[in-house]
Amino acid sequence: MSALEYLSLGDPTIRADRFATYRRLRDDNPIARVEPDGARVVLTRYADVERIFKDPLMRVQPKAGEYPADIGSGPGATFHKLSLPDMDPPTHTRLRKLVSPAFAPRALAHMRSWVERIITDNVEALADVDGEVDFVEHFGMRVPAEIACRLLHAPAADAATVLRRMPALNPVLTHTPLTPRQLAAADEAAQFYFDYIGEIVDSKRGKLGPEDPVGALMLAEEEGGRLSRDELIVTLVGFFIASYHTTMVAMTNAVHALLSHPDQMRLLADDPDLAPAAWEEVLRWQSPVHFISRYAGYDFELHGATITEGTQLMLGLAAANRDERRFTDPDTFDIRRANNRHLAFTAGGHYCIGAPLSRLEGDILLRLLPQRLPAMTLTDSNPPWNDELVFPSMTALKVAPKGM
Amino acid sequence: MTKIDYIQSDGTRITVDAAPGDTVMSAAIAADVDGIVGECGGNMMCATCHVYVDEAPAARLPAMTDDEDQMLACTEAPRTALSRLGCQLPTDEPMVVTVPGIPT
Repeated sequence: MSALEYLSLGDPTIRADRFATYRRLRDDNPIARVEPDGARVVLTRYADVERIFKDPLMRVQPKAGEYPADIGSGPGATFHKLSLPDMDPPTHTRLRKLVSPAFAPRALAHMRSWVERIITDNVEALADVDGEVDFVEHFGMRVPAEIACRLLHAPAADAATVLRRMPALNPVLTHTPLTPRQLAAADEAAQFYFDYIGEIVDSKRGKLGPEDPVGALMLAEEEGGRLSRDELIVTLVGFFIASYHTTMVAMTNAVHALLSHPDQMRLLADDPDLAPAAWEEVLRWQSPVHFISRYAGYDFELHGATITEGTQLMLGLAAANRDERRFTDPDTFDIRRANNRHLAFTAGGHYCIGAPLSRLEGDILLRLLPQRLPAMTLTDSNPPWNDELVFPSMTALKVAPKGM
Repeated sequence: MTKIDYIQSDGTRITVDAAPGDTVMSAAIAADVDGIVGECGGNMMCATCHVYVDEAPAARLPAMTDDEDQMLACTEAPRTALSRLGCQLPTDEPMVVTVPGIPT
């Protein structure tokens, strides 16, 4: 029997050396039952995680067609019910189809110039710094907020106001049990977003073309009233939530990975066309989201064990992306890696809708960085990380943009 | 059940019984056909279900939308006049498709 037969997610040793833990799980315990009752299991091998993501009968809802009872019936409940990541087919299929033009190639082509301007301006601001600066605070947090505001046609000055309510809304969008007090706070936050984003939506109606992500959603709405105003608002807030933290983390991870691998940075400096591949390798090697949950849609066999319908499957994205069964030398950061089909954006029907935007941002940032800040160095080779299981991230990353 | 034939780049032919509602992509995923990745689950975001439609009742294939046309510009293997995204092709009629070779 393996020592990890039962996995305690609260065990601090998991966080202390995550990738070693993930390797042990992949090798010894690919279906790790989480204490105490085995109603939750952790899957860490690439093939298993990929299979669950691509199986259309696996669910995001714990019980088929049922909403959690504790979300109430206020604005927070409306957010939960209309939120794409919380939806299963057929509702999800319909909404997802309506939302897909937002980041389709046509819209992306129009976004490139303003995304490039935001990233360039902020890289230039870094280039003006003498001495040391915290990349997380001065770039990682700013750029995604500016991009999200521009995306939603919100004034950049409102970013902090919009972001401040996110933690209160979050519990109603996840599957953690809610206290009445949390629900009241979530309802209040949800109402704020309905009012705030609603006003933007109403003021822009009829003024935006299909090349604008918000315009594309509005036009989808207007062709026969297929996307309701509430659905539009919840979707736009979802864009903000989903893009902000993940982009901040991915950009920080990219800079950390490249500065701690000078040989890879040199390769990128010599050949800027490696930027897209380098971004994919950052997402694989240091995935921003470590776990995503699904629920078994039916009883099935895996590695000799039976997983029963309704079991919560915690899918280890970061673990799967370091699986030596799928990737050669998975712990090596190699921006020229071939066939790098990582799962950082998941796979299947809930595949990250913002992936094309993330790739655009990564392409722009990683082309620019080695050219504009060729001497940038880490000034703290051991940056502090937060303690989160699902969304681990560096809380600060001290760099000297002009070198030491 | 409708028979869909997938021809691999080495000439191997795999015949799959597609279930009602399947697309050329989803039937391939369910049968583990190599070369059809279907990364985005049929959301037209990845072009990893690119196929060449060799034999099909052309008049009955759904017309290509602008979005599919744009995604086909992002395929790994070259696009030809026979190129389609498997996720956009229903399996109501028998069909023969070639799976592009994976560039190394």
